[in-house]
Amino acid sequence: MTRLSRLVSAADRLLRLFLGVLLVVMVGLNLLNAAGRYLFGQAIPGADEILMFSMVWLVFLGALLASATDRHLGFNLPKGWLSESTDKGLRVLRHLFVALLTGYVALQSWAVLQKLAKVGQKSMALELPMTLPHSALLVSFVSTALLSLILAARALSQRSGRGAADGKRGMP
Amino acid sequence: MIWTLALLPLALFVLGFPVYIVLLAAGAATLAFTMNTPPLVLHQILYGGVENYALLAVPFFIFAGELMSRGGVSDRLVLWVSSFSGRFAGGLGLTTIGTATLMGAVSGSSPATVAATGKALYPDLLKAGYARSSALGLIVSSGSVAIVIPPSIAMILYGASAEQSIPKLFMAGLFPGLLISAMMALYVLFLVRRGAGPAAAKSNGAAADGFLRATWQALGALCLPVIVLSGIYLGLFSPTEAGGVACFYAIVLIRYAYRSMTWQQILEAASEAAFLSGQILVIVASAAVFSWVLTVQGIPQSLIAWVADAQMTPVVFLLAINLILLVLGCFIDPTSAILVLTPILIPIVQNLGIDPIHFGVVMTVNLSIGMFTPPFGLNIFVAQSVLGAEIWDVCRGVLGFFLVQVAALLLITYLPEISLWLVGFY
Repeated sequence: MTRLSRLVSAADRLLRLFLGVLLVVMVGLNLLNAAGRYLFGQAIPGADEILMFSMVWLVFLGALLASATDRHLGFNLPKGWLSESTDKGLRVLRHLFVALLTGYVALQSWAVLQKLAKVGQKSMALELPMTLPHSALLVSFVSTALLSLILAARALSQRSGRGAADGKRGMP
Repeated sequence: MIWTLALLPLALFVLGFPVYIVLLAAGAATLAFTMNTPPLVLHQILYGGVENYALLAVPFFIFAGELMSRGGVSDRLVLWVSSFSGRFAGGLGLTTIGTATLMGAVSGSSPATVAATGKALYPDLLKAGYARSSALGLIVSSGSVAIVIPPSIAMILYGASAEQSIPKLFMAGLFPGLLISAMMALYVLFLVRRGAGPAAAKSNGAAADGFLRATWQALGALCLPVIVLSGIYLGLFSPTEAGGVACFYAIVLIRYAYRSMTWQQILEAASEAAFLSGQILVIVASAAVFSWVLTVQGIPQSLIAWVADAQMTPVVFLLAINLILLVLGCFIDPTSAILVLTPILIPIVQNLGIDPIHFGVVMTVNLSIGMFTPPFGLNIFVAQSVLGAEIWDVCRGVLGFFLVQVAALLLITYLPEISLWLVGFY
């Protein structure tokens, strides 16, 4: 296992753990909020806002994890339909295209974040800076773009062979 | 425009790009090359696509489903169902269908249902004399009903996408789901009577367990859908809050009542649920971009005009939609199909006077059939991975069950009362 692979593997485990804890906290907050409303006639102030912001982070970090492990939903051609070299070429093309697209979206996210920071937009209930939930998209798309470039470089440098072709599923 | 909204996504899809990239690329390319709108809007729509309170129910129900399918619930459900169905000839087949239906209500996931039911019953089905292909066909097809029976994640996604009431959709899915299971059960009994199935295939041993004892053992699991649905319909909580209640109940049940999972395993289930939520909801965000571009370009209006020009009646339209969805379902997973097609189809559906709640059920049933139809039905690959089955065996085994479910689909399509009767009371 290379140093890079070990690093990505550790990041993957850490991200998984963080997402799991975040979901458990969201469940707890949702329950407490509902219980507060029905039992004590008062909801937790800003709970819905925190839940929404947490979900935005959960979704875009979850998507990043799916990119890192190559487990996004999609149509897969059956193994053996393409020659090894075509399959490798297609993988490189896919990674480069994803890097280009997510890089482009990341640029738009960066521009939006700058505008939000400039006007100092805050959330309605807790008055949190709106850059907080919006930055989830930037983090996710920048990381996906970088990851895709690494995966493209890795696919290019991989020697031909069945093992190499089979080992395409994800970074770790 | 045609190349950015049709040719580019089609080409990317066939080349194996992730669905969310396909939709995002189509939206971004249309925006960049054919519109005068600042590209910053991409970020705003992506963000707005997931900042939807109703969608919070998705990670919660996925988490509850993960807990229930990992927590050994399926074995208790098998014992309970077999305690009354196991006495009949063909009872093991009936037990498989009954367990899959209940597991669907408990987990909401078709692959999880196939994995759990298959692990529990596949060896027994083989021992009882079922041919390998028949047993596999029965398991993968009966598991498909999980996405129709409430609480259903597919229905939540359709409801959020079509702006329809999720409680009404849950209610509308109940009878169609039960109808599919009942027709499957009748088909199994028909096979047994005709001598094509193993007549002596009663559930082994499980039937000896008394009904009351089995009910007591499975009571905790059986209560989950009851608590969730009755809580929603009695107005005690919203579908999103119901998702949270389902998670809490599942944690208490498997940690303290069944003692089948440690805290570490519960956290692992949460991690997997969060990952699966990201995998699904990032498509929701990208589909919002695609749908926005379609709307701004006037595509739904053009389609409505085209359907009107073709003088298509609701009957013909629904038939055409059934054919298209059945074929698409063989290639695309239900999540992607619902999120891509709903914004395009809903304006036409409403223009033709078809009830959007009924249409949601028709769409979900179509796509549930796609879960077990070759070449890319997800349940087939689950059976291959979990049961070590040969793909060819599964494909041969599903044919009869496919025809039965298509017959059920036609009933559900052309008798809207099956879906809407219960909704009328809400």
